[in-house]
Formats: sequence, C-alpha cells, structure tokens
Amino acid sequence: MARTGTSRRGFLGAVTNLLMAAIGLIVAIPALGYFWSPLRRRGAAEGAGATFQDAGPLADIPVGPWRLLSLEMVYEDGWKKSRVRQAIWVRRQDGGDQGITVLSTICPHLGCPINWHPDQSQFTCPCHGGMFDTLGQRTGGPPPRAMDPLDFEVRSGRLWVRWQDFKIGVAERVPVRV
Amino acid sequence: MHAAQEQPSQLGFWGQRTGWTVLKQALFLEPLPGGSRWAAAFGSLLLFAFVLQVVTGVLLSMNYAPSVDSAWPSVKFIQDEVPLGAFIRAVHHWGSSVMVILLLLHLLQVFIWGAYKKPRELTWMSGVLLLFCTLGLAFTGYLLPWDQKAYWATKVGLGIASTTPGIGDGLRTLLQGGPQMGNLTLTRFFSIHTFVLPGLLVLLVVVHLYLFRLHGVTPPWWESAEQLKAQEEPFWPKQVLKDGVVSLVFLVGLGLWCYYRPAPLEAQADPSQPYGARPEWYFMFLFQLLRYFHGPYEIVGTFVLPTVFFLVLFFWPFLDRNPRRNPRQRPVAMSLLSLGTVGLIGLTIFAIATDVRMTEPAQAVAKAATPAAEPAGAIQRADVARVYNNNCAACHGVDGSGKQIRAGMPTIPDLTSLAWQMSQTDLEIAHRIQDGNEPLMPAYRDKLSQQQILALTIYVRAFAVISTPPAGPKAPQPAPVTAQMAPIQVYRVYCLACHDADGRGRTARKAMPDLPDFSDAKWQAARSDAELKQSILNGKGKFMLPMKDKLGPADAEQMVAYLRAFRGGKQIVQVEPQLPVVPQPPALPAVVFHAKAPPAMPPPTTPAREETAARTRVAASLYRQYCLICHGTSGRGTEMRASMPTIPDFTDRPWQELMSNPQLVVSILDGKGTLMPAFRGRVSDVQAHDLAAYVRAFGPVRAVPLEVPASDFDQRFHALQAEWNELHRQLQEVSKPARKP
Repeated sequence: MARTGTSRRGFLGAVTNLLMAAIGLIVAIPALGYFWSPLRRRGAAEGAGATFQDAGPLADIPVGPWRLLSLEMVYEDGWKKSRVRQAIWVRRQDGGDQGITVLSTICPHLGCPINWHPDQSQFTCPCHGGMFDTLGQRTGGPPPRAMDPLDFEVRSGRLWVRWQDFKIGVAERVPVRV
Repeated sequence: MHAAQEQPSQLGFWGQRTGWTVLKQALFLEPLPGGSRWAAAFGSLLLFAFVLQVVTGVLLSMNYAPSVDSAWPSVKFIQDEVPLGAFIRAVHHWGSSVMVILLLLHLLQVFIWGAYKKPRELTWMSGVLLLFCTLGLAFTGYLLPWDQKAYWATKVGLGIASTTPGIGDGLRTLLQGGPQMGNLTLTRFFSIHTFVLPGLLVLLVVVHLYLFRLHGVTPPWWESAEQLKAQEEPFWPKQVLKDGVVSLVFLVGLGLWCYYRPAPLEAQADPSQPYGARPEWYFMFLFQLLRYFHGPYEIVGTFVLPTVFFLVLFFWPFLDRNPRRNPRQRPVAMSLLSLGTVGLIGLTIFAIATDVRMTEPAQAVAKAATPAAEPAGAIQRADVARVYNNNCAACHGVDGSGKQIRAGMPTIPDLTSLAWQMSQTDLEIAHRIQDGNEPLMPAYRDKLSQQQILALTIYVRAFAVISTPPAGPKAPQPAPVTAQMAPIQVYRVYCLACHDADGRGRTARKAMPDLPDFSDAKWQAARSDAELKQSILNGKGKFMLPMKDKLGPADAEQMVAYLRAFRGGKQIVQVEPQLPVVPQPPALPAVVFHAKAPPAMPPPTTPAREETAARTRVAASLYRQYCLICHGTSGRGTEMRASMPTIPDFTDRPWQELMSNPQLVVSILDGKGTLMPAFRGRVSDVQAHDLAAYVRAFGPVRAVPLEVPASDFDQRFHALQAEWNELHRQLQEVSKPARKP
C-alpha cells in the first residue's frame, strides 16, 4: 500500500510505524524489567544453603547405621519467611566426632530422594534404579556421580549441617546457588 | 473475502496462507468521511489505557496473593522489594483513575457529536455496558490490597448494594462470598477483577468496535455531505498517527506522574481500628449524595437515583429520537448533559472539599518517591497498634486507661496519666514489657521481638500526649491529669528522694537546710492544709519543684493527708520491694532440642539473660525512687537545674566521657558536691554499679523529652534502641567487678 501511495503518505506511514514502535517499547521495557527481576535478584538472596542448621544432638544418633534426619531452614520467600525441611542421611561410625558422614538425599541423576535399604546394605534411588554403596559411592544405574556429601560441624555435642543443592545430571559436583 | 480477486503470486508467502492483506484492507484502510480527527482519538486512547491496565495487572498478579493474610504483605513486597514494583503498581493504580476520566471524556465527546443516534444505538449501549464493567473493575480492584481504605470502602459499598429492594441482602452475600466480609470476599473479588470482568470487557470491546466499524465513524455535524466526501482519508496512517501521538503523550504523562507519586498504601485492614471510611474519588459523588437522604429516604440515594440514572443513560438513544446532531438543535439533550455533568462534578468536588476526617489514616507508604528506609519506620507504627491491640488492650484498654479492669486489678497503671508517665523512664517501660510484673502482667520477652517491645514503649508514651485535647488555637502545657497512682506511689516517685522514707529528710538536709521534718509535731501544727497544698502544687523555696503539672488539686489534697500521717514518726514508707538478684551459674539450656522441630521463636531465656533482666528492673526502680526527681526521666536534669546549676546532663557526651565508671559509683555511694546526697546504706554496692550502668545508658544518644508528638516515632525508636543496647552493654561490663566478693 505504501508502494502505491504518495511519497508524503509513505513518509507519514513510516512515522506512524515508528511511533507505534516507540509506544510499544515504552510499555515493553518496564514490563520486561519487572518480569525479569528474579534473574537479577539472584545474587542478592543467599538462600538456604549459606548457613549451618541444627540437626540435633549427636547422642540421638546411634553409632553404626545410617539415620535419616531432617533439617529445617528458613529463607526469604517474597514477603514471607518460608520454612523448608530437607532430609539428610547421617552415619556415625564411632563415638566421637571423627567418623561422621553426612550425605544429601537428592539423587544426582534427576533429583529423586534416595532410600537406604539395610537388608541390601546399599542406597537405591526409586526413580531409575541408581545404586550406591554404604559410603555413598556409585555402584550402578544412571547417576553420573556419587551421592553428594554435605558440610557439617559438631558444636557442643550437636550436629550442624549446611544444606546445599548440587547440579543434577553432571559428573562434576557443582553447587547450585539458590 | 475478496482474496480471489488478487493474483496468488502478488499475495506473497504469507498472504496466500493467512489472507492478512484482506484484514489489512478492512482494519486499516477503511475510509473516514471528513478525514482523520483529533477528537476521534479518545476511543483509541481509552482502549490503550485498558491495554496498559491489563499489562500492569498481569505483572502485579505475578507477585500478589489474594488471601487475607498475604494480600497486604504481598502488595508491600511489590511496593518495596520488587524491582520496578512500585512503578508498575503506581501505573496500575493511577491508570485506573485515568481510565475513568478518559471514559467520561469519551462519553461526553460521543454525546455531543450525537454519535449514538440511529443506526448507532447499539454501539452506545455496548459502550454503557463497558462503563459498568470499568466501574466494576475499579470497585473490585480497589479491595485487593486489603488495606484500611480498601476494606472500609468495600464494606460501605457492599452495604449500599444491600439496600437494593428485595434482593439486597442476597446480593451482598453473593458479592461477599459469605455472611460477612473476609477471605472469601477477597478471593471472589480477585477472580471477578482478573477473569470475569476483563473477559466481559474484551467481548464488549469487540462488539463495540465491530459495530463502530460497521457504521463508520460519525462525522462532525458542521460539514456537509460533499465536504465529507471530498476530505475522505483512510484510517491508516493519519488517524493512527493522531491516535498514536495522543497515546504517547498520555503514556509519558502517566509515567512521569507515577514516577513522582507512588501509589498509596495504608495500614493493613483492621476492623477493630476506628477509621473514617471513604470511597475512591470517582465514587465520592455517591458518598455526598447519600448525605442528603436519611432514614427511610436513604434508599432514594443508594438505589433509586443511581438506577434511574443508569437506565436513562443506557436507553438514551431510544429516548432521544431527535435526528439532528447539531448541539444547538438539541436543547433537551444538551441541558440534561450539562445538568448531569455539572451535578456529578459538583457533587464530587463538594464531597472532597467538605470532607472532615475524624482520624488521619496511618500511611504505610511515604509520600515522596524516596527509597524505603530501614526497618524501623512508619510501618512499625502501623504494626504496633495491632501488636498493642492483640497483646495489651485486653487489660490496659484501647485508650490505655485500664479503667475497665481496675476494679479487679487496682494497681494497673493509667497510661494516660501524665503523673505515671513522668515517673517512668523509657528504659523502665521497655523492661517492664519485656519482664512483666508477676503475677498480674505477663512477660513478653518470648512473645514479642525486641523491635516490637521497643516500639510498644514509644506507643505507650504516646497515650499521655494524645489523650490531652488541645485547648484553643495554641495547645498549652497539657492539663494536669488525675493520677491513678496511690499516694504511696506518688510519694515514692516524687518525694521520697529528698524527704526520706520517714519524712524526716535527713539525707538531703545537708544540701537543703530548709527541708522540713514531717515527723515534727510542731512543724505539722504550724502548717495549715491549704498551705501544704499550695507548697505541693506550686513548689516551695529553692529546691522543691511545683507538682501542678503532674497532680491535680484532688491528688494534692490526698498527698496532704498522707503527709499528715508522718507526724510523730508514725509512718514509714516502704521502699519498693527488691527481689535479690542471684547470679546464676552458666548451665545447659533447659529446653530440649528435637531433630525434627527446631525452635521457631527467638531463643528462650538463658539464665544470664534473666539475671540481666532482674538487675535492670532493680536499677530502674531505684532510679525512679531516688534519682528521678532531680535528674529527670531523660537524665538531663532540666527541671532542677535552676536550683541546682551544677546538676549534670547524662545525655551530654563530654560529661559521659569525663566520668569514669568508678567515679560514677563513688558519686552514687558517697554523694557529690553539696547537693547530691550519699546513697550508701540505701543501695548496695552491686546496685550502685548497676545504677552507674543505667546512667551510662542515657548518653550519648539524645533522649527525647515527653512532649514530642508520636509522629517522631522513628527518631524515638532509634534513640530508645540505642539506650537499650547501651544499658545491656554497660551491665555486661559492670558485671565483672561487681562479682568480686
């Protein structure tokens, strides 16, 4: 249509198009900025993985078998403080603080929770059959690496664990920033 | 439609498959008789404003949660923490007001143009329905932040709906989602606002636009048919250009407005708070109208008049059968239009101008577009009222007087009493809230955060200020409020320090030689009751301060009677009972931690904290008994400085730095100069150390005097917080030497 009109109309047409584009941009830029904000705020929020959480007294964990404990973490969830509970596998091999192992329950394959089977003395992931030995090392199935260990401390007879999320599906253990 | 007329190859790839050229022809190249017009831009502008509302509304709904508990916090979150949240929210808020204005302008333009006449009656009617939808969107959207204004405006609005004859109550229940306004109202309004009405509106817009295009734009009445044909132009680009320019100006204007004026947000909805309910400005005409109809005639204002008005508006094209479009040839229509417009605008202006609010609502958003300050801000004040109402009002009363339960709890203080207020330091009030006063007042250290306790302290202070109404144009010193303190309490706070527990005044006589001995019968006989009352109220000599700002005449007479009882040494005032402070050995916490349920609240008290709490209480009550009368609640000694020029100002930084801790303790135990008596024997060594820490806590932060109005909340909060922290720090420091046997 611009081809058949006068050159003035062609110019007006171009100006009109430009104007519409300008209006569109003026509306779209703040809208996208608002919509994109979770990506920009990623650096600010520390998330649940930053600090150690209390898992309970060591005395409550019997020496020998693997024990499932829960960690409760509080994090900033918009206008609320949300509580999230995560499970961890803990084992004490002796009476002291040295023989403690803490493993994440999240399977490094696709993120399902791993179960301990005492009759088979191994960890098995119920989703795709990933298998791990009593130390959490991979023995079979699709998972790309061993079960992820978590940092912990013993403070006055209590176990404090730092929860971390790791990237799933890769062989390298990379913590994910929440 | 006519695609077959063009050669397929000319249509191009997309043209052959989508037929977009046909659409382009129909939508954009429609001929406009008389050419493009600025006046015709109003409709597009209205549509553009609606699109803007949809865009900003969708963005807001990503962060908004429609439930009674989360609505207000989520809106506050958007306002304070989401990047550009405040701006997008402002656009949505002010945009809705602008849409109402644009709507009325569009209506005016269409009416004046006579663009509703045959065959365009249905276009008009669909437009009126669009008006209903827009007002409905405004009404439902308004509730969503669930702040005070939203809650009460909706409550009143629903009340008006309930006056509809016959179906009124049912209608209200339907809109409320239940028998009363609450969570289900909010969810229902949210659904109506985001799904039902926008859907309906889009449908109606399609109908409206289709009908408009079908009949073509209404040409102006002043041009003949030949002129119109000669000036005919296609819609694109000129009309689109005009529409675009108007939209751009509107967009930039709205953007600037929103940048400088954030959307308001009042305190969270609280049905128990007194509040002057007002609707938003575009409903104020109705608010004003209702003032003229009372009792049985109220329904005229709430139902009859609005219904008649909207019915007339809706059916207007069928009521006005005059075929002429020239306004001069339509006197009836034009006069009705003028009447309606002037009436509505006039009612609105009159409503806003004559509105007298009983109380100013608490604002949670600062007027200027400055970034939000630190946590302890106006928001805290808004929350404090609620904290007070939930925790304290049951006994102390909403007004702080405690009169409802005084019969059963005679020692409950009257927070509105100036005398009581002046007998308390800020720190003492804060500690009282924290530690309670067993067995009658519970401790709040586990129920409230420290921020909340400190904020409540300032809230408690505000009772005495607010309760005294300003007398005349200039508010003088507040009138003496009857002390709800028993004479023994008054004596302890204001008199005991100088006159002593037995009334003999031995301690202070060295500094004040004229101090009388109340136990002396001769002195008692020489003074009449009237003279004693005069001394108490107006002061005496160099050192005795007037009490008339703290005690009323009736209280002064009570004190005179109390004074008489000292005769012959028959009355000894018991000093306040002090529980001994036993330093606890550090022990394991008494609470057992479970692996599955870590503590949610602030950590429970350890023995060390309880000890500090007890010591603070002791120090505070000693200060009140022995020190307050000269050194004042703020520690500045302003009241006494006229008679005691060398009295220090505890808030003065140089003074604090000049005095070491041992010097403070020595001053307390052995006295200082000629005027400050020794307190050895009345306070123990440990207590003297704690008092020194208490004195330290007054400075170097400026303690704010009592007359500061409650709007200085932030300042006072920070001052009190600094005092509090300082006191605890000092007590920790002092604790080591005090423990030495």
